[in-house]
Amino acid sequence: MKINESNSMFLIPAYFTIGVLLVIPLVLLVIFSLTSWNLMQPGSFKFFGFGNFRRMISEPRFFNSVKVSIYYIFINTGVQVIIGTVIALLLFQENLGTRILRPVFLFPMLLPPVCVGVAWKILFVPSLGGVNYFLNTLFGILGPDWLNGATSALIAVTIASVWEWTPFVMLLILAGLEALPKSPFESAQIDGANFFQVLVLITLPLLKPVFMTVILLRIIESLAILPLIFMMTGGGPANATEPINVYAYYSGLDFLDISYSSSLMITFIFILAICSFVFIKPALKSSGE
Amino acid sequence: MKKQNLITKILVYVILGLFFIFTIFPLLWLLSLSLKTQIQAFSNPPILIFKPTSENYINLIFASGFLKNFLNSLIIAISSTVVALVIGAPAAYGMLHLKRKNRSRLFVLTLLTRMAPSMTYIIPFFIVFSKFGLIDTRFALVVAYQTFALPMVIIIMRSFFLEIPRSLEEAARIDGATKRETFIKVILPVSAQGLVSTAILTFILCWNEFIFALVLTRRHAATAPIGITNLMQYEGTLWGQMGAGAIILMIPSILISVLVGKYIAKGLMAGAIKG
Repeated sequence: MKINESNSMFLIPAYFTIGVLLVIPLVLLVIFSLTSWNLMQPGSFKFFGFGNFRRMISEPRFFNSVKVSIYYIFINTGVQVIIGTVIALLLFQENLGTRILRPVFLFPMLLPPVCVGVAWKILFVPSLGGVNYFLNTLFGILGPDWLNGATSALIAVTIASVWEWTPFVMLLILAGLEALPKSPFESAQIDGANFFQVLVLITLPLLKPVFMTVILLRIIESLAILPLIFMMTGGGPANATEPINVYAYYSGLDFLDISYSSSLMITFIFILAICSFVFIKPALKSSGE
Repeated sequence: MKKQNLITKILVYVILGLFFIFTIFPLLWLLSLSLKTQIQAFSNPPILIFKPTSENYINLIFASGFLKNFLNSLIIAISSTVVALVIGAPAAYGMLHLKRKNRSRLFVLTLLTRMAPSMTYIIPFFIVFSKFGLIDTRFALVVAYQTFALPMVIIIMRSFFLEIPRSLEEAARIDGATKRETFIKVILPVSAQGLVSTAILTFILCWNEFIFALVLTRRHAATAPIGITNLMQYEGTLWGQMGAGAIILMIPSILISVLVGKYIAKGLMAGAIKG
């Protein structure tokens, strides 16, 4: 009994804070979403039921933002995981490479996202040289005005997000590789399996739990590239790069439409939950809880 | 057979080399831009060799109020880290003494808090902080940053505490130490390295934070990332100054990954794999 008493002294300050910081915003978000509250219209704090959600499905901008969100969730995550895995597998083969390159590959994810946005914006603005200059001199390709075309802007954001987050995937996969048991590889070698047989039949299946965790983490954070989007495109051109959380930002903080913005965020959380649902259980299991 | 091995090896290094260039190039490009005059920056084809100028850095630091933003960043990041460590580290320790079921529940709650998209908090925080007149105060940011700093500290410190042999703790208890004394005099000193790398990682998270600062500050408490975005709005973008600001802002992260990268890698993993 006495042990428990003193243990709660350790836990209460942190979990009281977490509880307040997590629960109050969530409750407020739900309450706001059921009203018609807009800070620019005094007296608009009235019960509105599911009116915001009805309004949402009549807005083309909402469907566009869902489309863009799903693009980021799957394409950005997919490219990061594929390139990250390839690099991790190659580094794992080469001991020397690992020692020199690993610290370098730590950089991108530790840098302030705003700086990542600035760096890539500078590269993609045609008048500053950058990407288009090198495309032209190296390959003779006339590059587009990247950030002002719908598709090219989306690709530019993807490239920047791949730059920022591939190293993270690589690091986790590399750690997974280093933790694998040695014996399956030894017996495969004795049986004369070649590199690709080992990769497909042993390495990748053994890495499955790590993959689950990595994909889950990347999906959940795939839309946390808000600073990148703000710096590079601001969601434009014509909302082409605007995911649902950026849409929520503009409606809540530019148009002060608190209720509508809250409804968008609740929808966003649902989309995230649906997209990451399959990966949650295996990922939690692999973390030992 | 030998020849094929050599070709494979070359291929591997070519791919790794390309990825290395991809990683390092944007940073070098940014650095070179920050050292160019506005005219040099727009020259076509881009000038690759030039006499570097420090005017962007000097203008940024002395003329634009960036110094104040920088100080704000420093004060807010350090305060947030200290608060998160002081209340988070004991919680990570206390968690280990719970029954398995409760421990799992608390852990999942911690993960949820860490993973909730920051926009979830933004609107409610904006409303609540406005009501209490806390918009544009450093205090508001230190509170807001606990949404990610505190779970981060708990998750990483937990992984370090898990490695301490139970016998050490039991020995202290048998000698009559209370739980608090055990924690302060035995557990913390043993996990000093873990504590330091947790502090560093938490500091970086707070230092890098953008969206809370964007919404919850105006002028007085604005942090350095916000200072950089402000350069984008005035009469055209000051590319050189923006580059210089970005480079200055990167210094802590780069210093840290070069100097202590090896030590924080483990914390980074713990924070990532389990968070």
